[in-house]
Amino acid sequence: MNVYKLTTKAFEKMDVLLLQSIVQLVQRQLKSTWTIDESADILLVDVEHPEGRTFWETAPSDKLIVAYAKQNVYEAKWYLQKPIRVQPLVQLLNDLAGFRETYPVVASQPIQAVLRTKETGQTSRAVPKTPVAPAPPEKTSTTIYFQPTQYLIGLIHTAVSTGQVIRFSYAETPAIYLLPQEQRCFTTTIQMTHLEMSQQTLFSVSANQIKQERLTTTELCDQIEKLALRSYPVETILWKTALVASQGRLIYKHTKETTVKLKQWPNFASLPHLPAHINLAAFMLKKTADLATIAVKTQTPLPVVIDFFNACKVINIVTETSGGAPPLEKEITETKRDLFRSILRRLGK
Amino acid sequence: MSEIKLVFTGSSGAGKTTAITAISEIPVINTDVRATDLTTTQRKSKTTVAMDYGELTLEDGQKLRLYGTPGQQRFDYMWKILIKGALGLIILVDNSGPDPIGDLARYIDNFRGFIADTGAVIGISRMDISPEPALQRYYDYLNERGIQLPIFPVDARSRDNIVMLIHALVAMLEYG
Repeated sequence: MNVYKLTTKAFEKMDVLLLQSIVQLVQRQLKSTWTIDESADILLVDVEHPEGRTFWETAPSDKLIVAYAKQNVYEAKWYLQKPIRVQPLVQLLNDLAGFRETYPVVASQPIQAVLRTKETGQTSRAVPKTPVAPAPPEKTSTTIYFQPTQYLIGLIHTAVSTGQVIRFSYAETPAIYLLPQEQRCFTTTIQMTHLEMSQQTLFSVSANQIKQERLTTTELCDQIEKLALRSYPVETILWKTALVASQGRLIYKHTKETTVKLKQWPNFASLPHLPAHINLAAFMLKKTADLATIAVKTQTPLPVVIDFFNACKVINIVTETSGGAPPLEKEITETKRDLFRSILRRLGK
Repeated sequence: MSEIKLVFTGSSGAGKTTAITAISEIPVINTDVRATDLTTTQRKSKTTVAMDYGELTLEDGQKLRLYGTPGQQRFDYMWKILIKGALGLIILVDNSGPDPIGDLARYIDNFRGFIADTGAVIGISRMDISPEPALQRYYDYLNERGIQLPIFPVDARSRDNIVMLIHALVAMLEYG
């Protein structure tokens, strides 16, 4: 049986003790032996702690990092929900072990396999049974970039230019059908206020792993009827792919120093989004700033800002300038901020 | 803090009453009368003369008051009264109307000062049954005017859609 090591970062003392206790208790349920050791290169990071958040945003690329939080605000591929529960932890450790068996040497970018555990103990495993290598990163000097053409985005652009109806599929996840003439895609329901795990691998795998099949329009119509598929503008798919596949990496040829501004409001009625994206859109619609400043002013984790910026760039609703004056501070009293929060809570946001 | 209120405005039939009904915790109070102008009677049998009123109770017991302005131009004197001291403005535009862009222009012009000082969002209703003008036309219009406001399609009957409008408005007030 393989032996793996795990360590923690920015954990509360109680959480460390709880983790140690549970790992000891559940060894029989684990496919490998796990120990808690500071020298481990698999880290559980409490990203709700300021130190953990900073670590997450600047994480060295030779570590496999699991986000530990009440909610998966980073849309992290490896995630453990707070508080620690036995079955989700067992599932996580078994999946990590399985991943490590396939990839014993950590890749040169944050590991990108999807995992999400549910409170019921049932797990939905978005990682396919045959693990696939993450898309090779684009490197310029010391930075790793997100290259849209290496994902579903590139395939869609090619298909649109040829005018051919295409079915894109990957493993057992729901396929996406492209009708280029109408700039529309058809697939199972996409929730606009969160990301569907069942579709995430098609959006996150590299383009060379996605199967493409040509269809006639008649065959497409048959599939739409048979599978009760829904229609979406192609921007929805491009946007979602960028959001999911970016994983905190800046889009190719963009630098963090460049200042950006939205040309128009993203149509969130047809673009999947998080609540944080609405705040980002509000800021970026009115103000020009670099991504780090945007993160600070909107109190949004930088990777979330980067993913959002990449998605806006992919659907061409953002402008860029070099330099420029910092955005003017908007004077909002704490009373007013509390009122805004209160209104959103009342509305269930 | 004085009255906390949001104002819904827009042309007759755009969905103001429906939108407030979608989120109000009380039955919406309105004053409906038979519509008199030809354009409105072709689209609905009643119209709001004075205003709509709905409300939400916040955690600390404060009331968030929701006002809907009368849609017809001849009641525009009410608009200035209702908008005074409002937290924000929600403009609803009926995309199936004869001149939706013109409708939007009128409301932006009438509330220009308030929009510049405070904030607004725009919801385009009935795009599902009347896809033209397309959303891009509205984006282009706002760009020509140098106006940056959130704008997206909504179904006024949908609570989720109206909540998203208000969420966008609150975000603009805080971060915009």
